[in-house]
Amino acid sequence: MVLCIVALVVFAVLGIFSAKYREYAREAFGCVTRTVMLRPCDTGFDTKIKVKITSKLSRLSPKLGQSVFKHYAFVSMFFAVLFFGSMGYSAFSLYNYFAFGNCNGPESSAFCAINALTGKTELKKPLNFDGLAYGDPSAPNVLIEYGCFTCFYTRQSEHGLKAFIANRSDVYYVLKPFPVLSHNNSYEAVQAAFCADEQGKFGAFRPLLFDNQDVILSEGVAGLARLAVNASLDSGKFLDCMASKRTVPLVEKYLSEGKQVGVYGTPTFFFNNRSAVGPLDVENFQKFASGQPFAIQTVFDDGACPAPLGALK
Amino acid sequence: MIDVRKDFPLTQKVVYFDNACTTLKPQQVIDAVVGYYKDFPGCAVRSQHRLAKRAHKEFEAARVRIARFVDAKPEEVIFTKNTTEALNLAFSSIARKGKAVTSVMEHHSVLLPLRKNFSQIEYVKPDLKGDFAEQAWLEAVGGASVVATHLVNNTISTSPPLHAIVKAARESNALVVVDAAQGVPHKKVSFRKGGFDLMAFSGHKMLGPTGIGCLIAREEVQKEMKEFMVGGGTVETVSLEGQAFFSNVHRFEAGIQDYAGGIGLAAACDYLDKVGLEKVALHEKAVADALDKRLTELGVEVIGSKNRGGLVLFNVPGVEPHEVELLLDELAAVAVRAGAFCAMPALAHLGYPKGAVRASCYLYNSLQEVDRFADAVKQIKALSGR
Repeated sequence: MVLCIVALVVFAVLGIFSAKYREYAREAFGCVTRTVMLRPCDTGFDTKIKVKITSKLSRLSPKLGQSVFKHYAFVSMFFAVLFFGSMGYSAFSLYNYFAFGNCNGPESSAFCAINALTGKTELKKPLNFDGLAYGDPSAPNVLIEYGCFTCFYTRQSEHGLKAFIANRSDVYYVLKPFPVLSHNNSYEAVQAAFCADEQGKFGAFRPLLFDNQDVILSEGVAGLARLAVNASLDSGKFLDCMASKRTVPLVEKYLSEGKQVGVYGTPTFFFNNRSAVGPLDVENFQKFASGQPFAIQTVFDDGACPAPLGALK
Repeated sequence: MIDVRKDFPLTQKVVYFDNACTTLKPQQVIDAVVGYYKDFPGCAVRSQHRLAKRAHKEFEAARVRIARFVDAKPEEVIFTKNTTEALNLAFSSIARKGKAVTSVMEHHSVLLPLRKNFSQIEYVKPDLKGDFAEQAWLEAVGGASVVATHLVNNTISTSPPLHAIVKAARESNALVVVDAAQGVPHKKVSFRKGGFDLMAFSGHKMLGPTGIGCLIAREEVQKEMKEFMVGGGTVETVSLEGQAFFSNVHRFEAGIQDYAGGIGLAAACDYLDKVGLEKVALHEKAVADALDKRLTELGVEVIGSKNRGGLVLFNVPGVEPHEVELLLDELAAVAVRAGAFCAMPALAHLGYPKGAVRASCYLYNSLQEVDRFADAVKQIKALSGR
């Protein structure tokens, strides 16, 4: 019976790709159905599978075929346990992946196969606390954000982030701008942010950037210039800064850092030794910071603007 | 040794040792069957156009050829679907009841219709090898109204002492019904000389098509038999008040018959006649003896008496019979059958209630196939580690 369940799953999946496995899937289904309905499974399916496996193995190695044949009950039970165990662990990993962004669980940024498949590789600890900072650099806790000014999710996180750090004098917050290059003018927005920082006006410029993402996307530098005026920046100096591209090295620095850290989507947060990818509200920021399980604020997708392959210049 | 393998192209792809279940078909039989459908697919007897007339002519000619094959009269040949239907027809139709005598070695197609129609049945048992003592039959047949037995057994291909059984049955005025499904394909059988009253066999076990069989019934016995299945083709006249059945074999052949099957069976009879059944019997015995020898050398348990025909029953130690069956197919494209072969009491009596593996030979099997079979059995035995 156990073997029939395993066989049903395996052959059902294989049957998607090759018609020759569909008959086995049907037989396994019949066997499972009969057993579930408390009728004996007399299809002989388990015997067929045993013969198929041992005959193939004996062609490769007579001794191996003999060993499997003699101990078939044990071998099939062993693989069935392995199968169900790995299915259970995979389900748990999937839960962790969707709940916490890493299939190893909320506390981990270790390697996860799902992350690798989706391009979301293991996150490493940031190398330094450079960036657009807020708070006391000597504070015991550091919250680092890799965020993109044109990213919807980075914007979504702003409210919770603001509320969180407003009440945490023990937290030193650092924004490392990480433009998602598939967004129009995302790179220029980061240049503009550093140009604003030159004038000491990044704090006023930041909310305008997030509140006018559509302007940035559609108008580019012209739109950024208008926003700079609204933030009371010196327009001439701002435009000169943008035209000279002197903040480009900074943009490249944080892009490169983000690549080294393994950032695969924005926003990505690091609070001491924990990481989170996706927007958080204030409650979940608190949980994130205190080491409790938390949830990113999205239901239908993974809640991050992806950094596409080859995005880094 | 016979060499007819060219007439059976499938023998190039498969080592076919499941002939007791059904046989391969030569092109001559296939052509005969196709010929009916292609050239004269008419409604014999009922219609009078040229196709129907030809169908009738060929079908009745087939009846004559089949009758000749088993040394019976055409008037004694009743076409059925198979041996099972023939035996059901026999036991349901004969008027006499009373005690029936049969053996534990019979096929279910003998036992079950007997049980359905007779409340008193005595079973004769052979020894544990399957050999019957004549005396056991003689003691049982006394007072019987019907004796039903096999010509050749389908599990170990032994035969009961038919001559003595028929003689004893005559003395008791008992009808002798013979299951000849495994006999007619493999040796020359004379219905007339055998002294049987009713004899059943199938076409598909003798190179013929499936869906056709025969009940050979002596005309005197036919008079005792009531109709089994009735309908069109069995009656001369029908009115609202009653009907008049045919007095000949047609009253047992209801509905449109399997004309293609009958014609194909006749072609199979012709083929076997051409090869010579005596040669067939010797050939398959030689192949079966070679199988027996190779299996014994491998330490495989061969079951049953050595007084057997072209069939070997065996078990591989440490491997279930159905596993052997599947492994032979998987490893070497060897076709055998495993289980109880529709003869559960027989296998239980021989001491193998879980069944065994049966390799049954026929005229197209060869000694080279025996080698391939033996090599595969050796591999299977190695799997069990014994």
